[in-house]
Amino acid sequence: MIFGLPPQKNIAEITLIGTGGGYGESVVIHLGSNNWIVIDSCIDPVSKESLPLIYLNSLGVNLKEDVKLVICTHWHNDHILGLSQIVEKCESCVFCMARPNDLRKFLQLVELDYRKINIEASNSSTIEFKKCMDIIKQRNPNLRKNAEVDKTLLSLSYSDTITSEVISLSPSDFTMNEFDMEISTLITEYGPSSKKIIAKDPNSKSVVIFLKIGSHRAILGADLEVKETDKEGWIHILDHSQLVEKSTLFKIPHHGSSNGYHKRIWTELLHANPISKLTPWNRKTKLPNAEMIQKYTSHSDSLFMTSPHMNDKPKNRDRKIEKIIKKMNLKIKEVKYARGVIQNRINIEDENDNWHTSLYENSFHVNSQIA
Amino acid sequence: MGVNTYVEKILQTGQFTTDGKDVLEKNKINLFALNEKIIRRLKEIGMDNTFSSHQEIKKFLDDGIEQDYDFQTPKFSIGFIDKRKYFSKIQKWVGHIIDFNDEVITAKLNDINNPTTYEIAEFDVDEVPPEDREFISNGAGFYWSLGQVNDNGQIEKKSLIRFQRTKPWEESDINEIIDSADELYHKLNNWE
Amino acid sequence: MANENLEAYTLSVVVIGAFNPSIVHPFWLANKKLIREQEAESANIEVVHTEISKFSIDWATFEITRDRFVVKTSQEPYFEPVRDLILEIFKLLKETPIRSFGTNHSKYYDLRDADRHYKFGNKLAPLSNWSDYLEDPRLQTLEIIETKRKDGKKGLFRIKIQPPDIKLSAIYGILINVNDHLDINERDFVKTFSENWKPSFDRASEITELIWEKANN
Repeated sequence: MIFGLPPQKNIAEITLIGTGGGYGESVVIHLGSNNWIVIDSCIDPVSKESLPLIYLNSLGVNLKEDVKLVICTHWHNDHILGLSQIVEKCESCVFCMARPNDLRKFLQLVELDYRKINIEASNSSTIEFKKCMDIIKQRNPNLRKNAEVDKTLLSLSYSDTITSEVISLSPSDFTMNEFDMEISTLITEYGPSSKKIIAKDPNSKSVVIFLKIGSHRAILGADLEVKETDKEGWIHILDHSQLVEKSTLFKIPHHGSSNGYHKRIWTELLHANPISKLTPWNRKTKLPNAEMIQKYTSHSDSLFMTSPHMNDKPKNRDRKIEKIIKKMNLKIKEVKYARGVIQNRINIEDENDNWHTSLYENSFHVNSQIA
Repeated sequence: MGVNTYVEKILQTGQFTTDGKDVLEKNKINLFALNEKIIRRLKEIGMDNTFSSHQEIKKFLDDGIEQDYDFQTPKFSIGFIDKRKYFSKIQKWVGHIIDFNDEVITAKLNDINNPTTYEIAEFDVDEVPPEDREFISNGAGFYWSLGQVNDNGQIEKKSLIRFQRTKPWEESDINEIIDSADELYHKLNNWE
Repeated sequence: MANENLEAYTLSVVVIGAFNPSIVHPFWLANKKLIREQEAESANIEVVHTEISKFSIDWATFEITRDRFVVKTSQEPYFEPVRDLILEIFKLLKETPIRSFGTNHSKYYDLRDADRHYKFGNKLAPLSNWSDYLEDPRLQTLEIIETKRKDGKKGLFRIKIQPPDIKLSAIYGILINVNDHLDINERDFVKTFSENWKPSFDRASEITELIWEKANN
């Protein structure tokens, strides 16, 4: 078993899967009694397999029946790759995303971008998204849910006294109205069929998830950022959410970037010293940076990352080609793939239990590395 | 008048009409007398790649152009004009611009022959051929190849960048796309 | 690994249908922005006629008759541009009826020495079958057809192994030609051609790898 034994019925689990940066992140959740949720997807760039599926398969989860909810937090490459594989296999799942107000126009944009597939100009996220739509259009309309502020997406009773809830805290109405305008602009500017459609600010549409599992609480921050206004982003949640409660586990938003940080999140939405985890970003900018790592470790003794930052290096390839690259002094760097899994488990029936962490593959405890 | 010039003239005359038959009529060419010469010329210009034997060419010309010539499967047709120019070692990417300014382009590269992890490249705008620079914009797609070219036995290292040239969507394309999106919309609009 | 011994890879696409050869002209292509103007200006035009149009630009050769439309390139960097060009041409000429098309992969390998060169042929077509009545028989050309396509589509694969038809720097070279021929519905060309592109390259690579393995082991 690469990722340990499957959890018992009374053990809840929140597992973060990372790829090192360029190939996405995903969260897999067990709400107890074989009820599973998948948030976003990421892939192995070589096999193109969806990592949450590999993970669930390794635990022997019955995908067809036991995955109850699949959430797409936002329409962005590093959160959606491989999602259609999950939706396809998890036949009874409810598919959830922030549904644009003008769904018709949004689908036109998707279709427009999807047509570019043949010349490789299409966004992979569009291809994934379109595949998901093609699957769910065949399914019962009850199997789709719209994520919005303070909406209960799933509610399950574990026993007479213990329940679990999955609640979305974002995106705000303001954000979705802005998105409508953006879609209109993108549609009029679609340009030649060889050009990719690039959305301006996909992170602001992120769906943040608040989990109530028995008496345990967790917040999964997707890529939501802090905006200057209280109309959207984290400030909107801080100022307006009626349902959010202080939590003991936090998936840090947007690879620990400073634009996803606000002190109030750590004081108002989280208990002191929560379990915190994140996936890094490994391009030209490396996230989280030293300053942010210091901030996070000051809030949490248990900061985990799915993989360390990696040095930029060119790919290994034919020696003659390597020579040419060197001779021409070309700046070409591989975006490395490094899988890491941070598994946190807790006893649903025991309100005094704390999160237990198991680290797999490249994941590590940040605090002990910098001590 | 040499054979080549003669045949070329006939072929050139054809440019000004829409129907090959008329040209032949107008010029009162005796096809049978010309066959061998035409065949030779056609062979010289490489038509032997297209037809497998003299008989086929003859049949084609004799029977007239209106005939629906029954081609079997495509023949192997090698015989390049630039016969001796080929790449012996090559790395090919399809790239998309993710950022650019007046001097530098940053792009995401996917290996065409071995699409695994992707790469990020930075290169000067000068590397882009002048006629392709109009295509530089965020999201624009291009092909980039690096390799060793064998040009008449001369080995050279080469880097080639070529932007994707595709025509803008036409109204009919857009209509088709909208129809398809609307079909999806009708199946998905009850999404609460 | 066949790939390590690959000396050159050339491509030709043959489209069968009903064409008007005189339309396709380098300046028409440049006018539609499908090639660079410079490329049209320096094109080598042999003939543009209602019966046949034949010209070449720096990286591709065009040969169009009333029923065949052929584009070839000997330069691997231009395989994708050739694909795009063909797609764009037939998006513009969308009324053109097309019955079938062939994607011809010509892969030239360097066998490095006389011994391996001989063994390659001997393995694929054992020469002992001939040695009773031929003195020092050698394999010249071998052609095999897959009569029923593995992918279930209408058409065939034709594999031809022969001596190289271009001048290679390799002395002991061979050419493996993989012809992927598909019959199609008249209006489906653009869609089918673009969808078949990658599978065609994958299959050609799979086939040549297997031949290489069989012949060299």
